[in-house]
Amino acid sequence: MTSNTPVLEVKNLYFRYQSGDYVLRGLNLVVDKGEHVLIIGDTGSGKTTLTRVLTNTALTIYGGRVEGLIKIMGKRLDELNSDEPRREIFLIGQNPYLFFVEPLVREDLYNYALRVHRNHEHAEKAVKKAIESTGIHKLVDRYFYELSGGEARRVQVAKSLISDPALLLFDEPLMWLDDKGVNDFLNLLRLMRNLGKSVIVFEHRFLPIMRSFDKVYLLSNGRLHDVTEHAWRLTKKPYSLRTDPNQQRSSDENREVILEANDIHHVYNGNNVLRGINLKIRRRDFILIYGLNGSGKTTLLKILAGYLKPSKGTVKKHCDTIYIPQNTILFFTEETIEKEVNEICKTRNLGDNCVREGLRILGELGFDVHQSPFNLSHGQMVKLAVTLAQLTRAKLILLDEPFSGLTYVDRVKLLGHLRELGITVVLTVSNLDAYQEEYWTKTYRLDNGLLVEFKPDKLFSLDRAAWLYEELKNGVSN
Amino acid sequence: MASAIKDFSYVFAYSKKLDEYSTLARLMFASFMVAASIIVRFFTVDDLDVVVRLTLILLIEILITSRFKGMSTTLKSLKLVAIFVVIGAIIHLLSYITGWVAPRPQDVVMSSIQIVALFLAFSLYFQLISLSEWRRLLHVAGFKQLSTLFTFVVTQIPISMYYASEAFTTIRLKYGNKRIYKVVVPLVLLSMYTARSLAESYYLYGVHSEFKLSVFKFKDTLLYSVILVLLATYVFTMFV
Repeated sequence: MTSNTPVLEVKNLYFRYQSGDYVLRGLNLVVDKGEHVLIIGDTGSGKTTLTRVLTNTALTIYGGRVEGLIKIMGKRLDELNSDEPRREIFLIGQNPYLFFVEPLVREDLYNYALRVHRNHEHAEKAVKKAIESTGIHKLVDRYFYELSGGEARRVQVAKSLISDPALLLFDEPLMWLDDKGVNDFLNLLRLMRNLGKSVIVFEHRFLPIMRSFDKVYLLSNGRLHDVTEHAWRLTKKPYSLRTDPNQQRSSDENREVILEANDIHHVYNGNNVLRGINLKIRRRDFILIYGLNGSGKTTLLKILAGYLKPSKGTVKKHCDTIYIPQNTILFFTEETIEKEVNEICKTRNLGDNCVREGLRILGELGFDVHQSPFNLSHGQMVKLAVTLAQLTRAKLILLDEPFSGLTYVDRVKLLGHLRELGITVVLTVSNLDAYQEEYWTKTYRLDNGLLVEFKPDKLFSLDRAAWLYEELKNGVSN
Repeated sequence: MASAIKDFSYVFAYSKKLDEYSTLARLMFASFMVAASIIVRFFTVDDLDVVVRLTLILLIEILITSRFKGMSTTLKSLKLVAIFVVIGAIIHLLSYITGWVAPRPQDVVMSSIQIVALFLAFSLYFQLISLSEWRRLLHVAGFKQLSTLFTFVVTQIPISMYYASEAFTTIRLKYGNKRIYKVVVPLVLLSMYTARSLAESYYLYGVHSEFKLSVFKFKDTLLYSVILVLLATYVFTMFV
């Protein structure tokens, strides 16, 4: 291998799972030493599949069919022994918690080091070096499930340094990360650059990190398209908001109050999670609650839903509420969408009209009602959950971080859908990388147990982010 | 209920401060506590003996667990057990009131405490012995595949408990208490997705079974002393 040999070379790659059509269709990619590459794309466009192909799990775990050429450090992937790809390419997956094989962080690192070096002394040295390079001293004596999403990824990066891989893959690293976590991730990217590591990040929430990459690709129709220049030009292009007059939310104070929370306090594990929260929700309100991970957003939603009893204070509800969790898959219980509609109408004694109405609405929204809800994309799952919630005649829908895992375009579509339903919404987010005041009647910040109304500084608007992404896609299809 | 499940899972997590004791001593200690919790009623008919034995066992278990985990974590982890103990006690008392053959109220109290003691003793296997040690022990015993499967499953218990708690909240708010059993469906599916991801983790990172098991360390004498005190109490209550 010469110094000019690319770290990764992919030529005319085709891949399909055991059942189904080709997901990757003639994909080409070259990553040089020390290069940082960002790959963006829709949900289901094949980003995760590409990580599986590069780490060889597409073949070994999923039994798919791979065609084309993949070279790692100049050597063909199919000619390497089974250990080599694992040493040269390190994957940090969407859910970093699933990549721990020991509960204690230190033991997990040591286990991996021993697997790589097969010698206790070398393993200990490698772990020490990895901890020092990434500065995770305070995390090593904790259980992995006590770590925040950002911390868990830092530990995984430390783990990657143990085998000293040539290339690091991050699959949707910003999923579940709050604004602070995003900054931590940017620091990690800087560290990787200083260490001369090549990095590929697969992410559709690209705005906060785009500037840190040498190249930006769009994965569409199974192929990668270099959109680096186009993306840079578009971010500088003037943009006027496409807000229609109906979109502007009214903060009319005369609307009926449907929920009132007074002086809510909540203590959890000896910590004052909520400290004197007052909130009045009026019919057709669109309320956004912003707070970093662990700030108590989920606790507050559960109290508003009536599931948790606050340690102190009262919640007066004048309507039914539905809570949709961050992990939307937990909302569904039936094998088909049709059965979901039947079940939810039956539970609430709403009769056949409810079923007919539900199936009609879902049909209009483009759902195949005979399909399993568990096979939908995350965005579709949220949309289905919201529509089902509406059928229950619940007037208030509480959504816990529904934007995680959604592209900017899907976020705009979801908000549009909620608006069309004419319901009252309380929605939480942990990041504001694309925010637009016009969508909300009120925006609050939950910090240190206190809920305060706030107006974020000038941010990249959500509509603009969605427009930028659509423009990139249009540029590719043209 | 949901938070009780989550707290319960914490008791199965290995403690961080145990390197000063040998693997053998910790294994012996956990096994002895399980045995002692089971034979509380053996070799005696006197209630006072049982009370003394139970009190001592519980005291030792709570002291040991609290030392490594903290008192609050230990007590919280007992919430779920307490729910079942209380239900059992209520059923016994109801059958007593309604005229069925039922144990004496003091027996109900003592057997309830014994269940708590037994549960805590069993949890010591996970609190005192790390998964690497378990893996090595099973490996040495000839259960190579099981050693890997076992450690993967135990590692994911706290996260799975968290999902279970979230699923309970969601389904209860969606369908009410009557159809809470439906919680099984999303949890089974989630387990399948998790299993697939874990297979990927295993392929990418693997596990080693070369952990060094220790047989004796100076501080072991402390654990062996506790065993001796407990043994002496059992013998004393048998003959005096």
